[in-house]
Amino acid sequence: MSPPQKSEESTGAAYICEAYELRITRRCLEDDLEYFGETPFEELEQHEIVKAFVKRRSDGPTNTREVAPLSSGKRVYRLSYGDRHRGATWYDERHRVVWLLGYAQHEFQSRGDAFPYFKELDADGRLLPGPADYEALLRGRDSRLQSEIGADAKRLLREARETPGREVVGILGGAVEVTVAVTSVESLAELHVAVQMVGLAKEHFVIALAALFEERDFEEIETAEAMPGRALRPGELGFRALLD
Amino acid sequence: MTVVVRLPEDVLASARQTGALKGRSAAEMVAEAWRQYLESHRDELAVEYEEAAELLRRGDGEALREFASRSVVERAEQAAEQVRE
Repeated sequence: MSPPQKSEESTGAAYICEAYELRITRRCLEDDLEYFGETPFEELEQHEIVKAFVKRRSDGPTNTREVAPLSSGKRVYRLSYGDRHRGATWYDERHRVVWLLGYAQHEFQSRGDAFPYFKELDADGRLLPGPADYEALLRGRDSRLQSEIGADAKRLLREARETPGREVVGILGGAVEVTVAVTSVESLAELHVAVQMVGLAKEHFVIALAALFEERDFEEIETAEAMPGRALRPGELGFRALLD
Repeated sequence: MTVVVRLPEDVLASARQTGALKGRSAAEMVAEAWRQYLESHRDELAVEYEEAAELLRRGDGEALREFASRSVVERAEQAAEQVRE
C-alpha cells in the first residue's frame, strides 16, 4: 500500500502526515474515548490524548517506551499526556498508519493502571485494529485516489511529453506507483508505462491504466517486456500504446 | 466482485509455487502472477477498463470512488488478517 502524499492535515477520520497517517481504532474511539464512530478528527483533537497523539506521532511513528510484554508480540508504544492520560500506539508499517489503540487514565477504575488494561485488551484480541478499521482506512484512501488520479496522470503525461525519452516517476492518487516515458520515431509517438504491481488492488490498476492511456481503447494497449533503455524492475509490469 | 478479486490470489499461489522453484523474489512472483492474470482475463479487464475510462471522461467522482472500493471489504479483511499473522 502506498503512503499518503499530503503534508500534515486532518481529514475525516485521519490526520495525514507526510509518510503515514494517524488513526484511532473504532474500539478505542467508542469504548475508551467515548466518541461516536464518525466523529471528525478535528473534533477529536479536543481530547488531551489525541492532542498528544498528533503532537508526538506526527514527529515520528514510534517511541522508546513500550507497553510490554504483549500476547500479540507487537511493538506497542506508550503515549502520555500529563500525569493521568495514557495511550497505546502501534505503527502499522505495512499500511503506513500509526494507530491509537487504547486510552485510559492512570489509576482508573479498579485496574489500578492503564497499562494492564492495554495488555488485557491485547490478550483478548481487542487491542489491534480489525476489519472495520482497515475498511475505514482503505475507503479514505480510495476516496483520495479518485479525487487525485486524473490530475496526477495528466501532470505525469505532460512532463513525459515535454522530456521525450526520459522516465518520469510518480504515485497516482497516492496509491499507484508508475513510471512513464514517451518516445518518438519519425512522426509517431509512443507512451510507455511501468506499473509497480506489488500490493496493488486490481481496481486501482485498471483506473490508473485508464487515466494514463486516456483516449486509447484497451485493445490498443500492448504489454511490454521492458521500458525504453531498461528492463522492468521486480514487481513491475510494462505497457505501451501509440499516441495521437 | 469477490470472485474477481480472488482470481489473482489463485494465480498468485501458482506463481509463488513455480517462482520459489526458480529462486525468484516475491516481487517478481507478484508480477508474474499479474502477467498470467492479464493474459487469461483480458476480456474481463477490457470491460472494466472501458468502464473506468468512461467514469474518468465523465468526471463522475462518486461512481469512480465506488469502482475503486469494489473489493474494499475483502482488502480490509486481508489487512486485518495480516496484522494477526
